[in-house]
Formats: sequence, structure tokens, C-alpha cells
Amino acid sequence: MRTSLIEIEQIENWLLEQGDIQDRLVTEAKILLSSELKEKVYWQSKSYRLVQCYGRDKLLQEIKAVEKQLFHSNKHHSFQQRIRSIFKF
Amino acid sequence: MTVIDQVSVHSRSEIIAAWYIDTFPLFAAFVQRKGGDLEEAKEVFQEAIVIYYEKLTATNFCPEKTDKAYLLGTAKNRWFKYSAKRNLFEGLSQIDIAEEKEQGPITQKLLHYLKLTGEKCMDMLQAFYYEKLDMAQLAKRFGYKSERSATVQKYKCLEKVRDEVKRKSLSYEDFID
Repeated sequence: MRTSLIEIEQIENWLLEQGDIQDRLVTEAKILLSSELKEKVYWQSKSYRLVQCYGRDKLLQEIKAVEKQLFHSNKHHSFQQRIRSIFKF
Repeated sequence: MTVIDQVSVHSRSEIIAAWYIDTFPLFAAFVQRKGGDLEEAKEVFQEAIVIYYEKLTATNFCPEKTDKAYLLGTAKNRWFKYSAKRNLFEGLSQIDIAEEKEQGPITQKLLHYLKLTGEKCMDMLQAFYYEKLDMAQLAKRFGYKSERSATVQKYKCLEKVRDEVKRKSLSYEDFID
């Protein structure tokens, strides 16, 4: 892997508290000494949060698609009837 | 069997459909008794699925009781919170309540941008960091010959996304008061 990718992996291990503890301590020391690296840590952390949001949005779209199928497809007639009987329509 | 194990046998959509068929009617009956309607039941149940799914994947949680019992419990819990908020904000418009749940404007803009320009990378990253696929599953889903290739590509994607997030965030901030 090229150097920048190795650095990404090291930042990840530090942020997520995984991998070899000695390596993480070395990474931590580097972060303390380098404002450039500190900045990379900041943006990488933000990126993980965005990936979580993206994953959650994707899941929600999938849930809505499943729900649409269940409530509108002829294949799920008995399910639909059961729900209709609960809300009486 | 954890949900991650199940996903290797069935698709995620199939699992979600099974949860709906097993659990939604019971939850719907509960909501109806509490004076709610079908649309409210659907909305809260969707949230409950997200919460339950994230609990299963984040911790590799294997429920002692069935999915049905846990999901129903989660949904009822969400209903109580929804219902309390609805009563508290009675009189305010739905928009006011919805705004509480929305992502900030910069996050929304970034997500929109990343969906347009980096969908392939985002799909891969969310498969690893959100769905919690392991490298073997990741390599298989995205067609990589080895876990090593998938790992390198994952980090390349993360680097690309990180750089884009920095670049776009700095330009968006100029336009936020």
C-alpha cells in the first residue's frame, strides 16, 4: 500500500481503538506533534460519521421499499387484510 | 444466528420483510389501541427497524429472545417517545417537529454531493463500516479477487471521501451564517 493509505489505516486504528497498542501510541505521538496530521484525523472522523448517515439513509430507503411491496403487492394480500382489519378500513 | 450471519444466507430485504410480517401486525394493533393511525405506526416501525438493525450490527448482538420480541419492544418504546413528543408539541406544525430530526444543512449538502459523485465508494464504505461486512464478504460483494485488493480499495475510497469532505465542507461554510 502507498504511504498515504498506510497513514489512513494508522489513523483509523487510533480513532477506532483497534490494532496493536504500541502502534497506536506511536500514532498518537505523531498526531500531537503534527497539525497537518491532526487535521487529517478530524476530517477522517467526520467522514466516518457521514458514512454512517449514508448507510442509515440506504437502510431506510430499503425499509420503505420493502414496506411498499408488502402493502401494495398482491403477493401479500393476507398481510394487507390483517392490517386493514386492525385499522378498520 | 446474528443478523450478519443471516445476511449471508438471505438478503437484507428478505430479513426486513420477515420482521414486518412477524411483528408489524402486533405493533399496529398496539398503536391502534393507543389512538394512533396506520401512517404513524409505519413511521415509528421504520425507525424501530433502523434502531434494532444498528444494535445487531454494532455489537454483533445475538438476542436471547426472538427478533420479534426485541423489535416489538423497541417499536413500543419509540411509540411512547413519539407520542409524548406529539402531545408536547400539540399545536405546532409537523414541520417544527420534523426539523428536530433532520441532519444539519452542511451534512445534508455533503451527503447529497457524495451520493452524486462518489456513490460507488460510499456504497463500499457503508458496507464495511455500517453493515459491518468482513473483508471476505466485502471482496465478494464488490467483485475483488482477494481481501487484500478489497482492503486497499476501501482505504483508497476513504482517502477520496476524506479529501472531498474537507474540500466541500470548507466551501459550504463560507455560505452559512
